[in-house]
Amino acid sequence: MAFIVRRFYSSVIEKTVLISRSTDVFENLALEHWYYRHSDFTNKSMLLLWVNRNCVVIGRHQNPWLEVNFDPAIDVRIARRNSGGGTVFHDNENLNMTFFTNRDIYNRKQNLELIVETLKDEWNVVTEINKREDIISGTASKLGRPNAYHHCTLLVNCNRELMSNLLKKREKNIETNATVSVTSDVLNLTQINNQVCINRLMTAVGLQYLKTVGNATTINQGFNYVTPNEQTFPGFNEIKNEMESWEWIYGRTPKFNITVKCNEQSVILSVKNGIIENVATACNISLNNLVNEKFNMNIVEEIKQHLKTIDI
Amino acid sequence: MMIRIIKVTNCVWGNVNHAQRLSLNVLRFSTSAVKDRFYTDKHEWIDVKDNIGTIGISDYAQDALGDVVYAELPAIGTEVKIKDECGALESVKAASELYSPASGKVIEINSHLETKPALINQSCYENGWLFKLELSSLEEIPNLMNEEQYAEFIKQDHS
Repeated sequence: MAFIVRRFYSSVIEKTVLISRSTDVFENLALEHWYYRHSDFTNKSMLLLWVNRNCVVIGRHQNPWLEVNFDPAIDVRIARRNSGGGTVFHDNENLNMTFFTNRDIYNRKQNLELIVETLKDEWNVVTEINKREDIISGTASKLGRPNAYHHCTLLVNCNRELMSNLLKKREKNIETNATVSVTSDVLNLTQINNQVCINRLMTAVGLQYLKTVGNATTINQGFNYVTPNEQTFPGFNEIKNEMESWEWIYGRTPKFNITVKCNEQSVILSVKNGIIENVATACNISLNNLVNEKFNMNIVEEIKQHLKTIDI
Repeated sequence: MMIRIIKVTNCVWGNVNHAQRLSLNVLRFSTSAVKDRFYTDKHEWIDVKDNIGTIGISDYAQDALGDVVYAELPAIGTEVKIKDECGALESVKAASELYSPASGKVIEINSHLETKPALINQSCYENGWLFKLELSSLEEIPNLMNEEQYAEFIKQDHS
């Protein structure tokens, strides 16, 4: 009987699976960006697997104050990635996968099909790719020239309660043209099959990738562990510093207006590049000292306190 | 003269195969030919009047992207060099980088795109332009592709 292996990216000459040793979101995002910037994927295809400690990752054109419920009691890091799309929660029970290719052969659907196949073969878990090209969790891409990548997440057994507290939509009175997240029901893979664990998932996805990418003559570089640092990746620190900077995480927020309401009074703040540009209010209070300040949620609380003291 | 062809809706595209769709695109190009518009191999166009270049993305590019939901444009006053990354267009969860087709200083951005990024899909050569450059190296322009060369490039690149 003929045995058919469904191949994809058949033109690539070399393929490899990398596993990051870091669990720091900024290090991993910087590593991903470093590969995007410095690699030649003309004949090479690469899958990077990475896991982060608790963090929220917003899309490139999103508003963190709209997407994330800031709670001083919750210790969680917020990062902005370079790709489009919506906000996701990561913890050490969530696997991130980045498929790097040349832009010309970039194919998001095929990558997702590979994951669906893996889950079916390994655990008999049947998943579907919906219209938004999601499975279990999120998917997003960055398309440049000549390189492109598609990354996506798989929830194995992540803390859904924490995720919900951080990301559940609340009325924030923010008016913006930024990309807004679409809330989806998420499911941990362990809820379908409690045998799924993150290490086995990494191995299974990696093996499936090495099995199906390229053709019979493609050089198989197998699995490799990488430690993101300046020594191995010159220029790494600069990218990481930018990823961690206020200017990137908050300063890149698309222009927005936020209305602060309290005591039947309201104040409208106009924020551009994360900086308060204008304060508008009908009340008899002076808030001009806020102009040119970096916006944050404490300012909103301060304004509410101010409004409470006004006699109507 | 510019002849505008109404964009065929997605439900019709669903019945048209890829090759037919490409040939329709090529047809749309040849009918909307404007002599002084130049193209890059990354699918941006530039229209030069005196030393001011107006920049946008091609019809082929907007069609490949799908619905644009956010346009990130360079700040006014930014000095860009040819092929520099100078912004991104977001569509269906992908951020596509914009590369400047020429060198110069950004003097104007299309502010309508802030509230209506869909203009890029609806009118990529007119109302959906992206930004304007005060060109610093006019000699770069003749190295870009003209209308016929670009139509040929798309045909070869994707046949």
